Amino acid sequence: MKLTYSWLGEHISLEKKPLELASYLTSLGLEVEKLESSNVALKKFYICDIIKSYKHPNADRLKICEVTTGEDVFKVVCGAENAIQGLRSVFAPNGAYIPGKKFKIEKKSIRGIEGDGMLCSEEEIGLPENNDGIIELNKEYDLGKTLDNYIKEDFLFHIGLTPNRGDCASVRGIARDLGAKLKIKLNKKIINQEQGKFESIVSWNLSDEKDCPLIYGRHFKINENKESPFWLKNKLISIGLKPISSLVDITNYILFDIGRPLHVFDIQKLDGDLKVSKVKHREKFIGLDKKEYLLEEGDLVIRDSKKIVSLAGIMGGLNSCVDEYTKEVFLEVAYFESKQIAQTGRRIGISSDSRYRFERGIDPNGLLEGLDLATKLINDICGGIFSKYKVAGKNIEEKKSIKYNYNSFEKLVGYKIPADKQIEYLSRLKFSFNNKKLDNIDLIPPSWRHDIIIENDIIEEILRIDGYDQIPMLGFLPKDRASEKILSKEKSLVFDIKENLAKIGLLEAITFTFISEKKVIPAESILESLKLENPISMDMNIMRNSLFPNLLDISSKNFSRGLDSSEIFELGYIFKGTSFSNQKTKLAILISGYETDKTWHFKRRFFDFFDIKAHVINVLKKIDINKFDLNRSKNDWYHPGISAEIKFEGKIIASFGQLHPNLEKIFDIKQPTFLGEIDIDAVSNFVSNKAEKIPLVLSPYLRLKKDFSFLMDTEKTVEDLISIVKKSDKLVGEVIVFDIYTEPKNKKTVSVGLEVEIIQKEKVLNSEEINYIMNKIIQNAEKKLDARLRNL
Amino acid sequence: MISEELNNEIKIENLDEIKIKYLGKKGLFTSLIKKLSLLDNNTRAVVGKNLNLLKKDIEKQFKDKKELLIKQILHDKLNNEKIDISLPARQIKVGGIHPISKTMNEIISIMGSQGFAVKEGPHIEDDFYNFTALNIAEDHPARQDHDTFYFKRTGEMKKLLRTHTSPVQIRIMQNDTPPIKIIAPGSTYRCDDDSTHSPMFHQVEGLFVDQGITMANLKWVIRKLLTEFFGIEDLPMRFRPSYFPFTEPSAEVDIGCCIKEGKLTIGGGSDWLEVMGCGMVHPKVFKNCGIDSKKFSGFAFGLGVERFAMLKHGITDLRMFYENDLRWLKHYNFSATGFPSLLRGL
Repeated sequence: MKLTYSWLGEHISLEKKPLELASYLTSLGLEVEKLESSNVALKKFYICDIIKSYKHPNADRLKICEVTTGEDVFKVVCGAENAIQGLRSVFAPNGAYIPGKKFKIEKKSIRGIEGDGMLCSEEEIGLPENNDGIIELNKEYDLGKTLDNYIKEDFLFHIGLTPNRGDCASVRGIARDLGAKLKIKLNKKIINQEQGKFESIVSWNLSDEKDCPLIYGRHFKINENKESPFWLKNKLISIGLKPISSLVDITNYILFDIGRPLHVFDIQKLDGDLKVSKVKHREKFIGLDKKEYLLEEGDLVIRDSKKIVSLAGIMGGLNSCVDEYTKEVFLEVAYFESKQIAQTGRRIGISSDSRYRFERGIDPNGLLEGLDLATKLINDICGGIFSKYKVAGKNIEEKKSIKYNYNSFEKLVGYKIPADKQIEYLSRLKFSFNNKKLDNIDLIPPSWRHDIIIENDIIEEILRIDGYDQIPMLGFLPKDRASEKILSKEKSLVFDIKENLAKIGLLEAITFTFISEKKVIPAESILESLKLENPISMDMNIMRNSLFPNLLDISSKNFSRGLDSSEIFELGYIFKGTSFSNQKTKLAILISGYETDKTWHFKRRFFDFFDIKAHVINVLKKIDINKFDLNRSKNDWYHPGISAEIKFEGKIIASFGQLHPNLEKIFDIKQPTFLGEIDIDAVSNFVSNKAEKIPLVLSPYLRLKKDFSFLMDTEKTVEDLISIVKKSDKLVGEVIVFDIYTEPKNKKTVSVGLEVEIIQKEKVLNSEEINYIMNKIIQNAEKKLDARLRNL
Repeated sequence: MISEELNNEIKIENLDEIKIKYLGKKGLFTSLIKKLSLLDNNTRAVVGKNLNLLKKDIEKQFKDKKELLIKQILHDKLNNEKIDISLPARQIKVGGIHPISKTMNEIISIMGSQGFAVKEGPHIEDDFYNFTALNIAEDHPARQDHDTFYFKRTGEMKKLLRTHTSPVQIRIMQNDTPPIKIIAPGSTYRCDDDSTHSPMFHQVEGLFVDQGITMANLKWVIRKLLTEFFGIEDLPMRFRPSYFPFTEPSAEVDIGCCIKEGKLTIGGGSDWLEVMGCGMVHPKVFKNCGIDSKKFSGFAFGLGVERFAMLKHGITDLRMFYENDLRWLKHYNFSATGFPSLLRGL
């Protein structure tokens, strides 16, 4: 909602400056989003004289004018016929902003002649037009002065209205609220009710009294529907509207001035009486905006005997609109139910000023006022005569009273306002009341306030007038009745995991939870129920069932930016269905490209399988999941030979591996890429509540380590070998793999170098005892795994 | 004579040679000592004592010289081992958590310390939880502000992506009895995509329902949140009337700031910046959740996480949050240690 300071001043006497007023408006909940002076732009417009004017050498319709602002002389290329020698007009130099046309003058050549600026018309400056061509000024305007000296400065308020305040969608509505706050009475405009000279040839016929309980109309025989007078055009221009014709401008003016939407029909385009009714079968309708709309059953329309002439309360029809030839007019002043207008408006998607007000609710008591004001203005401006009014329907029911207890205010807001002060505030807001008692009262909100229904609404009204800055601050104890832990076990785990991954060098990514269905792997897992009906684009049309697609996209995008090493993770939701239980928490890790940045220290390498394995195992270790089954993975995301899954207590909790080569193309991956995934929902069940660890006894003796080199079949796993070695004797401690070698000639045999710790817990072992253990290790490996000690 | 010889430039290998020359078995000194027996007793005692003193002195001179030479050698050796200290260091990998996570964590820990427990809800909601239960009826103009993503209808109920975190309020109030003191952080969705709107964004919702909760409590806790989050003790703050269908009275919260030449500074100055919305839970919402509004009252608030992150860290482009450009993530990298472990014990 836009309004000017001067327009506001017509409804309420203003003692406050615009800036101060703006803060009052904001404190009332009528947030001033922007406050502009109308004169800032005018400071660039100079009063000038045209000292010479001659034909442009290269264009018949253009002139070259030499203009002066007193001292300097400028050259201007101009097309206006009235740009003749001796005229006093307005000059804007290059670089000035032209508000009426919304552009900045740039220095450029017009048909080979470069000008210093332009001579301006009223329209260009943002003033109502007086004549064609450039502005003509008399000698009262001093040469060289800027235009802001002559035009009274005004201020434009941009107000962000909340949806409940339809009553403030007019200058008077805002003045009324401001008046209640500042204790200033509204200026009453007295408009005489004129009776009319003849019977209207058009009558109303109501078939839906629920959605249109009351409607008035009046027939005008006018002299002409031409351009509006200066004051009216100026008003509309001042709030950014374009004047069209007197009749249209008058209805717009009344809409913005008192919030009363109106409509005018050209009687000569109507066939018979008008009927307000609902659409029964789908019908086409062409609006004033010349667009075609498809109306559905239940939409409220106004029709004559042949056609729909208006989509009630939203937009008039092109087939019956007024134009410059209009001589007979039928004025509509209606009350439409907000629900009805909202439904149709939303479905059809027309946002008109009329719809905006009807769907927020207009003042049911303002119909006659609108009729009288419109009658006066049409008669004054367009001339002619008008009929007696036509009415259909019945008066709209009075609002029900609300029982209000004065103590409720303190109970909800936390401080006390005496009852008489509360009543004073409410009467300033034009509430009426009955049954005033010691601690309660029956209140009837003013007819224009559809948003006040319950006690809380009344409390807010009192608080608005008293001021939200009056609310005190009252603390409570942190643990005040907090019934449970701040973070659940699972949420705590999520924070821990993120923290740990970040600490070891991974960057957290956060991505959209919807992806392209082309990136759902495998394609058979696409669920129709997870597809969006109205996605932003087909790249985001389905809820993700894995975190991998977005991480791969990030990696690919960053690679194309020249960043050849990605180490990222995301911890977020994926969706296996639409129910809450199908919203699963997963952790995904992606490592891609080089393991480090380029460096002089060593030759860098690509990430490999064991890097992703390290990350996954590291996360599990933090949750005390140390022993688990490691199997090859059949997951479609991974290279079948270079991937694994981890099973714990019978459940697959994690998987990792190289991106399946078949998927590289889909995700545009050009560098070695490894993925890992952990099922957070599953592992959070295994988080132990005990923080304690088993007591550790440190051996006082030197660490004893022995190296072995075994040859074994590649079909066997190193993990089996380690496990056999470990089980050989209770004094075998840590086993480290320090070498793996497969001869190129013999790929069936692998040589495994192991460093085995022999624990000296109670005493230093002698060589006999050590040999005994070493032999047991060798024998076990041979017996159980067919592994031989390599002859060195 | 010896001192002279020692003062000359000598290599450490030659030092022993010289020493033997004087003090060795066949050296000068030995021969002198041998000659002592030729002297009479008295003279022998005197000369012998002097010779001994002299010997000790010479030995000391050799010892000092040796130490000096060793020092010199070490010094020369270390000088030769000099490296270019300006060469780049080895890379230490620095990771970090996303600014959205970081911001959420900060909000959670501030509110957590006031006793608000973290709760989450489904992202895929239905009309009842996202709108109806929150007093946003089908024809309510407020619905237009929520450009909702809908799912293709497959079952009985049309599903949608939640447009705010407020549905979590409803779910918690339906299942728990007051006192209820929660915050609900999470992603929210609106089908809007331009330079200032992202189709997915994050909110934190707060709710405190109990007997005797007032707007004064709300104002106090919001002030606590804002001053602690922005780290400005005397941060100017104002409540102004606003409208949300699920709260009444409702307020929007502004903080003081200064906008000069396009640069925003939180704190002083004469400008106001809207940061969040709040209000007292609407009696209809209580009714929809089976809570007696005659007995209980409560407040709710909601804020945009991206907005908080942008204001605090001077991030200007909303879209970058979801671009995940590694350079950006590294630049706005936040060490993960900001989250007080204290909270986990609460």
